[in-house]
Order: sequence, then C-alpha cells, then structure tokens
Amino acid sequence: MRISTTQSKHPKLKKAAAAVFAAAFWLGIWQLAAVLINEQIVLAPPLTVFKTLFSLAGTWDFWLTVALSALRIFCGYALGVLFGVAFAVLTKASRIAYTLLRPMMSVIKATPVASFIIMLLFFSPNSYIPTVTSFLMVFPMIWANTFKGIDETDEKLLEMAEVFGFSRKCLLRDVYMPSVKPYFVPAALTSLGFAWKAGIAAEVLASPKHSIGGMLYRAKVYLETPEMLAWTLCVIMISMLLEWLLSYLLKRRSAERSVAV
Amino acid sequence: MIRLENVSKAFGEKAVLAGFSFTFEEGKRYAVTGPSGVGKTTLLRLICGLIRPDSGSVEVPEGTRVRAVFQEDRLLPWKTVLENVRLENGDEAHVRELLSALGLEGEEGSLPKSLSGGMSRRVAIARALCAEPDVLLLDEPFNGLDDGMKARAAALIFGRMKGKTVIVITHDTAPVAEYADETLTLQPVEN
Repeated sequence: MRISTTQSKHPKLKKAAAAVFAAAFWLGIWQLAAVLINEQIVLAPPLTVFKTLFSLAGTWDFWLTVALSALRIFCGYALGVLFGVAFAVLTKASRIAYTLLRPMMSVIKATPVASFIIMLLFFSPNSYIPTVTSFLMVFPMIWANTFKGIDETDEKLLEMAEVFGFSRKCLLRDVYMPSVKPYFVPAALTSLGFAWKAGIAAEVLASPKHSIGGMLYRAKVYLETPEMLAWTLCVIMISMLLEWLLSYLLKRRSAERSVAV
Repeated sequence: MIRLENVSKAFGEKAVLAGFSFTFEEGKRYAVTGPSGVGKTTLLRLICGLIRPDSGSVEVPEGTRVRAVFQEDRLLPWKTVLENVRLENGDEAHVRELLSALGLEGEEGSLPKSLSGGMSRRVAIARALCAEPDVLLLDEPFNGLDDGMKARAAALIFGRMKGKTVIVITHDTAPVAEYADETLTLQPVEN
C-alpha cells in the first residue's frame, strides 16, 4: 500500500488569503447593514469609519491619547503579572497565605468589572482607575495559573534537584520556570486582552484626560458614530497588536533559550 | 561512613524498616538486595535525606557529597542530554567522555523524550558520575540495559568511584558481583 500526503506549497499565502477573504466578507456584511439602516448615527459605513480613523491618526492628539491609554493599562497589566507571580510563590510557600488569599481571588474574579470601576470612582483619582482595573483583571488570573504551575511541578524532579544540590537560581531556571511556563504563558496572553478591554471600559466611565475611553464616551455623547467606531477599531487593532507582540516576544525568548542550550 | 541506627520507617500502617541498623564504611562497595517492598528504595531516600526516619537516626558526615541514580531516570525533559549530565557546573569535556564511555556519543544534543529507556538510564548514570560524589547511591541502575551494557556501566561506575562509597540497590546482583565488597540482604518486616 502506498500512502501519500499532500502539503500546500504556500501555507502562509493561503492563510493570508483566507484572512483577507474573511475580513472582506465581514466588511461586506457591515456595509450592507449600514446601507439597510441608512442612518449614520446608528451605524456608520466602514469606509466612513476608516476615513475618520485615518484623519484622527493624522493628529498629534490621537497618538498622545493612544500612548497614555496604553501606558495606564500596561502599568496595570505589568503590576498584575508581578503581583500574580509573587503571590503565587507566597501562597505556595505558606498555607495560611493561601487560605487567606484564595477567597479574595474568587471574589475579585466574580466581581463585575463595572462594579470595580464605580467603587474606584469614589476614592481614586480618575487617571489611576484604568490602571487599577487592569491590575484587578490580570492579578487573579496570573496568580491562579502560576500557582497551578508551581503546584504541579514534578515532585521527582524537585527531589533530584535536592539530591544534586541545585542552587536556588538553578532550581528556579531549570525546574520551576519550565514547569510553570505552560500555565503562565496562556494566562499572560489571555489576561492582556482582558486588561486592555477592562482598562478601556474604565476609561469610558472615569474619563481621564487623553484617554481612548474618554474619547469613546465623548463621541457617544455627541452622537459622532463614525468617530466612536474609529476609536473602537483602534482599540481592537491595538489589542491584536499587543497580543501578537507578547506572543512573539515569548516565542523569541523561548527560541533564544533553546539555542543557548 | 554512613551510620543507620535503629531506624524505623512506616508508610501508613505498613512498616518498611523496623529497628534497622547498619554502617556503610567509607570507600566500600555495597550491593543491597531483597524482595520487592522490603525497603531498599526507602533506605536510599533516608540516606539522601529525602525522608526522615520515624525513629532512630541516619548519620551522614557533614559535607559528604551524596548523589543518586533514582529508580526513575528523573531527567529534565527540557534539557539536552549534555545539559542533563553537566547540570550546573560539570566540565563539558568530562561529560562528553562519560557519555562516550556509556555508548551515548552523538546523543549530546538529544532531548530525553527522544531516548530509549536504556539510553535514559545511562544518561542518569552519567549525570551521577559527573557530579563526582563521595557516596554514590544507585537504585536499580541496570534496568533496561542489555548484558553487555550492564557490564560496561558497572565497570565504569566502580572504576570512577574507586576509593569512594558505592551502594547499589538491585535485584540483579550479577553485574555488581565482582565489584561489591559486601552484599546486604534486607528482610521483610513482619507487620
């Protein structure tokens, strides 16, 4: 019997073509819906939205707004990752810390993001609210996954490391980090998207100066639907870009490590 | 020397060692045998300090470099053969020489998942020897090796560990028979 397999000659090209086709399809649906509704205030057609986005992108204010929103949210994300990992280590080391922290994490995870934002509006400066909100989205997710990764580190490898007198650095680098990575990386990627979306939502309600959320709110109040959709498009594009960038950086780091090996 | 004094160890209701006393003299080679479940691996874990006795004492002199070949290979799956053997600070030339002596030349860059059971076993032996221990504990080190390789591995282990303490836990005493100074046969504890 002869078994043959067929492989595409240009898999990347095919993938790109499929993506273009899917995008064109949904843009077509959007255009059709806009034509049928025929009310720009309700739904602006894609071309108008893209034109608005390009005209916004030509202003200094647009880039300042994007940069400051990204900075606020990224600070929350970075703090969430940092504290998530630190608390995972702490709760793994201390049963009391785990008992105390676990219900708090469950409460944070179960609380609607809007509740946090409204509560924060009472006692936090508006410009910090997106940072704190992003932090609250990321912290429990990173904590739970890192904790699970540490918890599931192979006991036999830990014993081997003990017998072979691994230094703390070696234990961390050669045993814990590779064990935690499969849990940490998906959480880091997923929580980045959550942080970004929750951060923008916080900006909508808190309206700090120079913020994408603030601009979205302003566009909604003045019924500037093309501008509102343009800012939404901007949020989506940045979210996808951040996710791609983080995934690329993590892959590159992993590749560098294996080359160094 | 490693001294076990009146050591008892139980797992739940099952007593594995009861009032066990023995002294492993420095520089001697021991084969430890006995039926399954008699406490051979427990003995290794006690000497390594991985578990504590329920009563009695295990004395290993301060600063003694004890290393082990466990019953399972316990190789780091994300590290190459060379890195698994070298660990933190092994000399690369020494590692390559050990690997070659165990018939593993050309496998330096392989990951453990691509190795056969016998090859992984030899990597675990190479790792323990590379650490240049004062006391080497081996738990069924010849599992998965053919007769020729068993002899080769035994010659390497005892050759490299000349003048140092070697304790081989095995049900297959043939490969170590010509090297062991003493054979310790553990008897089951009456529960």
